[in-house]
Amino acid sequence: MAAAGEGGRVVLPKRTVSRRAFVAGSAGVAALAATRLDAMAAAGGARPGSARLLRPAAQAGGTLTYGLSGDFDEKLDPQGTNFDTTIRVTLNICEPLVWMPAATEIVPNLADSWEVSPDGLVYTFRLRQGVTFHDGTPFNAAAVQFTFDRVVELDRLTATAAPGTTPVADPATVLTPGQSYNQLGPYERSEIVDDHTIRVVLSRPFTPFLSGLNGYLGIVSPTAVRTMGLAEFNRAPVGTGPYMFGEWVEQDHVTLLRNPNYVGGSPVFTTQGPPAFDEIIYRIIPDAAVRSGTLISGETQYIEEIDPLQLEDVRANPDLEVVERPQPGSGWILLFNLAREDKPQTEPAVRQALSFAVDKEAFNQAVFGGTNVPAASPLMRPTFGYEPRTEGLYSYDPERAASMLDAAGWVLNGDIREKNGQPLALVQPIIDRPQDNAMTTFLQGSFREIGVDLQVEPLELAAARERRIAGLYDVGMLWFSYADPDILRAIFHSENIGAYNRANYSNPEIDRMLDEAAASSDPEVRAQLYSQIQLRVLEEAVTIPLADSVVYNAKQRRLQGEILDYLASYVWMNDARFAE
Amino acid sequence: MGEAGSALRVTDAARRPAARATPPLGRQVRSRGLAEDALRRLWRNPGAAAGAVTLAVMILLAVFAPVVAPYDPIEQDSQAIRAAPSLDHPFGADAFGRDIFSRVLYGGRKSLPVGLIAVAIAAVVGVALGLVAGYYGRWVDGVVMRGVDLMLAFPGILLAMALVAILGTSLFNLMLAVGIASIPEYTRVVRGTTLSVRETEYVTAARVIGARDRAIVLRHILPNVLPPIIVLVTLGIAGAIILGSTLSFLGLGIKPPEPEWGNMLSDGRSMMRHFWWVSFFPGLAIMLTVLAINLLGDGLRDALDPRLRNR
Amino acid sequence: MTTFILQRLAQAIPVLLGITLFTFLMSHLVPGDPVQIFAGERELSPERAAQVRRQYGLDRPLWVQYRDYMADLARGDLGRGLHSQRPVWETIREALLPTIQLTLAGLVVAVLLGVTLGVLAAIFRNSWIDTGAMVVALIGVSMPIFYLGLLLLFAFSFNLHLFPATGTGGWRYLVLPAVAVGFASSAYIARLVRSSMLEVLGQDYVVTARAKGVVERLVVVRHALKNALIPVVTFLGIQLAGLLTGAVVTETVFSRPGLGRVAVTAIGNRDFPLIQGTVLVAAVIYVVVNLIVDLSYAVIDPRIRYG
Repeated sequence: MAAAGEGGRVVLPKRTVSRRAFVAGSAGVAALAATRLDAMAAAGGARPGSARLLRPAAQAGGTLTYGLSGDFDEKLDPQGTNFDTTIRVTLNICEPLVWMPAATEIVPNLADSWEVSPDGLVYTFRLRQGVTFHDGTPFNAAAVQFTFDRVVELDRLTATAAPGTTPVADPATVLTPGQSYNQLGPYERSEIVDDHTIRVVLSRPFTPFLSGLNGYLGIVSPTAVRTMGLAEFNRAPVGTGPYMFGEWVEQDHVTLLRNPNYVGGSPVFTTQGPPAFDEIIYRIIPDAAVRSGTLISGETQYIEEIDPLQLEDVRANPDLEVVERPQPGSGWILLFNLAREDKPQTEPAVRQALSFAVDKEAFNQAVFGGTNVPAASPLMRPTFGYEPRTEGLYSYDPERAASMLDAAGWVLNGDIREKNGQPLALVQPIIDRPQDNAMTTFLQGSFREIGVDLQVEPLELAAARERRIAGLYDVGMLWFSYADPDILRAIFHSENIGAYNRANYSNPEIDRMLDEAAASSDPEVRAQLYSQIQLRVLEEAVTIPLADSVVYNAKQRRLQGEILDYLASYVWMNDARFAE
Repeated sequence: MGEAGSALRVTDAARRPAARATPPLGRQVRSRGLAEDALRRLWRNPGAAAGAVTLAVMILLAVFAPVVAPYDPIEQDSQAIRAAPSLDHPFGADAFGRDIFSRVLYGGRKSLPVGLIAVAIAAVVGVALGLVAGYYGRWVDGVVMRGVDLMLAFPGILLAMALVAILGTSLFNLMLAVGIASIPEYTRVVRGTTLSVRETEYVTAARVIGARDRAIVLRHILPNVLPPIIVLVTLGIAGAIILGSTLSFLGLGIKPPEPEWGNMLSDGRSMMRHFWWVSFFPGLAIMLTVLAINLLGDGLRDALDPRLRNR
Repeated sequence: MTTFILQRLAQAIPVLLGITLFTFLMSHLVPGDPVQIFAGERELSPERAAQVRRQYGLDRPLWVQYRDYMADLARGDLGRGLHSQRPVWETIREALLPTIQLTLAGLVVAVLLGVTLGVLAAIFRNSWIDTGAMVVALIGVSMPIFYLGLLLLFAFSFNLHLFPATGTGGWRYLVLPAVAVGFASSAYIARLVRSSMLEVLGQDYVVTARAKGVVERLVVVRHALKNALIPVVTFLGIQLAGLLTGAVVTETVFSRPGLGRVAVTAIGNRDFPLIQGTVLVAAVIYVVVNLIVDLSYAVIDPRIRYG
């Protein structure tokens, strides 16, 4: 999530990270850019051990029922949505130009190949030929241009509109872009070179551009958008993918139908041609216990985010299989708001003491049923640049924490410490959801043990966000799945204060190291820098890392061939089928 | 007739002919006897007596929770995470290793007031509005009943959600929200009864001999609206505790870590399958309280019903 | 009769107008900015937020927004949902049917269970049957719907595989949610039936009937039950009208589509047109159902006449 503490899952949170930041910065992805041609070459063999079937899927037919953990944001338009949930469904309908199956791999999909100009401003894509949209119209450069342009249309209109004229654009005819807007980065315009070649021009160099071209920028049929109108298209999107939109019963399910004319072509998949299932039903089942129950009872064959307390049941069941994957990025971390000048957390001693006060193993047990991993660093272990030395910094030691507070002048008065009449109390507004509640309840208990009063205020999402925008919090939480250590820039760079730098942390030296690490393409230099950054923010105790997240999806064993992407968020269904 | 709720008036009149049987005069003389009588009959009713005793015990346990409880209710113990009931933890421990027995004891200090105060707010305001509307009639009635219609037509749970969202998720706000949301029920029932009682001979008689409005309302009308109100109140207390729990389920509960039964029930729901004790015992506490209050309420109702006096 | 109905409908107009104003004020008093919800779990930068706010006209003064809304409403237009850009009426119409099905099925459960328990309790007053019936009813009243719903799911869906856990379709999808929704109401009905039965059974005409040697079962059915049903009908009216309340939770637990979830989502999103539309439709249902309930008294109780 982006947001922190808000528990969802973010893919590439470019928005709040200022764009400039990313330009300068994404060396993580610079490495990626450097290797992309190799990646292309290697992509065919990207999945060792999987025999490549150059034939249509087995004529298996049948229906796959998939249990989604959340609802859509009332949107199925890939460029309109902000929810990963939506994209999990629509990436089967509206495919993007490229896929990203692993950290440094960008693999062709609707784009057969591409090249980047030396100044990093122009990307030229050669598009796959002979592909048609589900409405029968041809896929071509105009469709790509249309898809990208609709994302920035509102931006352009606002830029040219006279100030004060409202409303500036009718939302019924002008798209309000969702996450696609951030995915597209500093996109300026695209030029159609020929029917199957398109040149995309950026306003400034932006290395992560290719990695941003994921499901949020799935190519849509321009004809369909124009004839259906935005509201109708949002209910029944039209793309080129292996499955076509079938029906959407709101709050209940979306049904996709097999695209009999699908030709395939991406080396990520073995199936080249129409997929196996006649239909896939994406069923919305928000309650984890119920979702897990439906898998056990056979109502669903694949579910995301299994109920941790039922993990053992599922593991013990010979018909079921757990799909387990540690995520890259920044795990569940606590951040102290350093901008509240009169509050105790501005004292480093207080923050360090609190860092010794959390039993992370018990936290993992209590909150996640032991399914995650106790965290040591703001980078999760699978992330490039993770520094194992962080593991020795803070062990669970409440006595030491208490004596540190004593030494800092915070003395017990009853249950809670105080200094100069000010109680050692911290306010944390949270979104009132079971997991958020559980995390803060645990911390409340841990802090109270050393005489610190964590005052939790459970709020509704909108109210909690308002609180955060107003800066009225002492402690915040963040969780961010992300492919590159450059995520640290979003959290600790001073230019992201007001965005994901919830700590309002400003340290010129850290800023410099983040910039340098992002600009470098030498993995050793980067690792060195990220190591220093991790150690430094932990020494200053700006953050308390709590848990590295592990994704646990689960499926019936007879379901095979589905692929969980690198971020462990999207499931690709091109090869999915039931074993005989 | 013809105004909204008129049918209810007729209904209540039809349901409650006993009201008319109350003798208009000499009532004052008999009223002490009535109360004594009622109390006596209450104690003779085994259900009501059991209810009263149970409720008294629950209240005492809540009041003396600090003395009785073996553990601090918010003390976490990483060695006891989701521990099953045992000698150490008679009701087991929750996800944070907190002793559920102690939490249930302390929980009563939140949950009992939630139910009682919420219902008190609803009943006092609702009864007052109902009496005024029913007794004065005309435009007063019109205004009050339109307001009541508006509140009834506005989905109660949305009202409670909105109030909690506006006011913040404190225990008091929860009580207020639940209380306000249930005002109209009381008003409607009381008004209906008041309308029918107002037309009875003894009220007319009282008016003729110059009794003041307030005296008539308090002495002659209020006693008649009490029996249906008692039923509403007893159910309402349960409803308030449950609604609090439901708001917590919907993400608008009260602050952790102070235990509250509804919250504990809601938090324990995901552990129902493997760690049943986490939600079972707070659930049991709610059920016992509700049962006790209802038994007592039934007894009270019967005891106050003049027709049942000589049985 | 016709005059009565017309009068009642005329009275509904100020109530419905009041509802729109009340809802409007309330949804703006609740803290939180609809535009900030647009980005879901992520967040909008202040610049993007301003852009979107302008696009949707949310930067206009409140009274202008309300005036424009009412002008649309006068033309019978409920507006479009902020997020879906779909006509509000379409969203509601789709969600209404499953919610009505759920509510009606819940009512059937509530009435069957409630009347049976209530009659038994009244006839065998102060016996163990009375106590037993009331305890069953009280279990219903003291268990939140979400908890009962999960219990039912675990027992009948995941363990016994008797009913599907989620979704809509045939009657099998309706059984568990209906029980979850109806059980609590059955407790109220049981108590209402019991107490009105006791009153009626104590009345002169029933006593007379008994004294005349009319068979007990006949007394119960012909005299007592019929009269005892009047408050039940009133209660059902309130229940049906308040259909959203039970639906909100039941639909969430059983992952069913419906008006309750539309309402909760709309509130969470601060989707003003959708909140307004949902509340308005619920209010209209309330008015209509209560009119029907009032009219039905005439059928049950011949003493009532409308003039």
